[in-house]
Amino acid sequence: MIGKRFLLLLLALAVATVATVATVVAAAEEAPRMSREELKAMLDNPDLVIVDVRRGKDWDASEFKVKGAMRMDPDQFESWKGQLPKDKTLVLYCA
Amino acid sequence: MGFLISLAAGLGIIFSAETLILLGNGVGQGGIWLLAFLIAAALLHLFGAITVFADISDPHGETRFLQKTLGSRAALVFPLSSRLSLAVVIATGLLVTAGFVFNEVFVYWFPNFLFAYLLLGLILTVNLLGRTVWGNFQAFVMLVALFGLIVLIIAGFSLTPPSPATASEPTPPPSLLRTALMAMLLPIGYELALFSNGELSGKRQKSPAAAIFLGSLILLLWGIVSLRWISPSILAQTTIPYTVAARTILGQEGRVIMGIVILAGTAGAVNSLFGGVSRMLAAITSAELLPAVFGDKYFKGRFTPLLLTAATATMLLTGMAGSSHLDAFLRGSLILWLIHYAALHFAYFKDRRHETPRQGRRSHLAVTVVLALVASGLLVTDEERKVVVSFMIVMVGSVLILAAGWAGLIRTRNQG
Repeated sequence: MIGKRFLLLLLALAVATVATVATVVAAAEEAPRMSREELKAMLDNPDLVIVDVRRGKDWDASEFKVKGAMRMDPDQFESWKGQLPKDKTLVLYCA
Repeated sequence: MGFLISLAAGLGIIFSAETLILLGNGVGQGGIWLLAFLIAAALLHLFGAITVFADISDPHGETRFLQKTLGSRAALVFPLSSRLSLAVVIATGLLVTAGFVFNEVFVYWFPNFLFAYLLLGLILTVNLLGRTVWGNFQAFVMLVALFGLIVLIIAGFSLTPPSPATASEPTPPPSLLRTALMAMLLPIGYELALFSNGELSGKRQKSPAAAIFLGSLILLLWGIVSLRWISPSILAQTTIPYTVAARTILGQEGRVIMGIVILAGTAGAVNSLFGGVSRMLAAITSAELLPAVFGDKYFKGRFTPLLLTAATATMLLTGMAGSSHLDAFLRGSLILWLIHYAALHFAYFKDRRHETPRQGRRSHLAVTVVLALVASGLLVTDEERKVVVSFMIVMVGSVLILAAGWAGLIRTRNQG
C-alpha cells in the first residue's frame, strides 16, 4: 500500500515536471532562431554582436567558445542589457 | 570475469570526465605536488580497501556493520546522503558532457541533449536487463576507456612536445593545501566494486584495492603527460583539460580517442553508480530500514534504477546542467562521500576496541581524523561554501526525515 502511494506521488511529480518544461519550451519557441551555418556565415560581419549566455556544464563541457563573444549571465539580464549596442545584430548563443 | 566486473565497477567514477577535470585543473594549479598528493591519497584509501572494505565484502555487510557499530540512522544517513546524491548529480553533469562530446567530436548535427537522454536510456535498459548484462556492459565500457587512456599516455610519453603555449590570463598562485585536499577526491568510488555482483570472495575481494591501484596509476601517468604537453596555466584554467591535452598530443586523432574515453567513461560511471546504489538500497531494505519497494523482491529490484533515471531526467529537463550550482552540489556529494569513509573507519575502530594490538585500531582513528579534516578543509576553502553546505544539510536532512518516517511506520505496523 505504501509502495503504491509512493509510485502515485512519483507519477504526479513526473507529470508536473513535464508540464512545466513543456510550457517553458513553448514560450522559448517564440524567439527567432538561426542555424550554426547561418551564424558562421555572419562571423566576419562588423555589425554582429554575439552574446554567449551559456552557464554551468553547458559552457564548461563545450570545446567551442565563440571568439569575440560577450559572455553574460542570463539571470542578470536586467543589469547588462543596457550595455548591448542597439544599432547592431544581436545573437544570443545558448545550449 | 567476476574480478574484471568488480574492478570495472570500482573504476567507474575514477575514469569519469569529472575526475579527469579535477586532475587536469589540479596539476595545472599544483603541478607535481598534485601527483605527490595523489599517491598519498591512494595509499590512504588503499588502507581502507584492504581493511574496512575487505571485511565488509558485500552491500549487506556494510549495512550490518554500520547498524551494529553506529546505529540504524548511521546505516542510512552515511551511504544514502553520499552515494545517492552523487549518483544523480554526477550523472546529470556527465551525461551533458557526453552529449557535447558526441556533438562536437563525432556527429555535429546530432542534438547534444538528445544524445544525453539516449545514453541515459541505454544505461537504464542495461540496469533493467539484469546483473549479467549490467556486469558485461560495465566491463566493456571501462575496458574501452582504459584502452583509450593508455593509448594517449603512450603517445604522450613517446612523442616530443612542442614549446607549450601559456594562457592569456595569469593563473593565481597555487594553494598547496587546496591541492592536497583535491587529491583526496580522485580515488573516490573504488568501493563500488563491492556492489557489483554478490559477495566478493577470493580474488574478487581484492577488487576495491585493485581499482585504487590501477585508477591512481592511470591518473598519475595522465597527469604527468598533461604537464609534459600543456602549460600549467592553461591546464589550470581550461574547463576541458582532457581534450586540450589529447588534442595537443595527437591532433584530431587525439580528440577522437579522448572523445571515446569520455563517452565510455560516462557510461561506466553512471552505470556503476546506478547498479551500485540499487544494490546498496536493496541491502538497506533487507535490514528493514527502507520500504520494500527499494528491495530485490519489488519489480525484481528494478525500482531504484527507474527512480534514479527519473531523477536524472528531471535534472536534465529542468536545466540543472546549465545551473551554476551543479558543480557545487557535486563537490558537496564528494565531501559527504569522504565523511562516509571517515564514519566507516571510526566504526571499524569502535568495533575493535577490545582487540590487541592497539596500533592497528589507532590507525583507523587516525584515518578518521584525517578524512574529517580533509572534508572540513574542502568545505572551508570552497568559494561557494554556502551553496555546498546548504546542499549537504538538505541531503542529510532528507535522509533523516525518511529514516524517522519509515521507522515510525514500522513501529506502528508492529504494534498493530
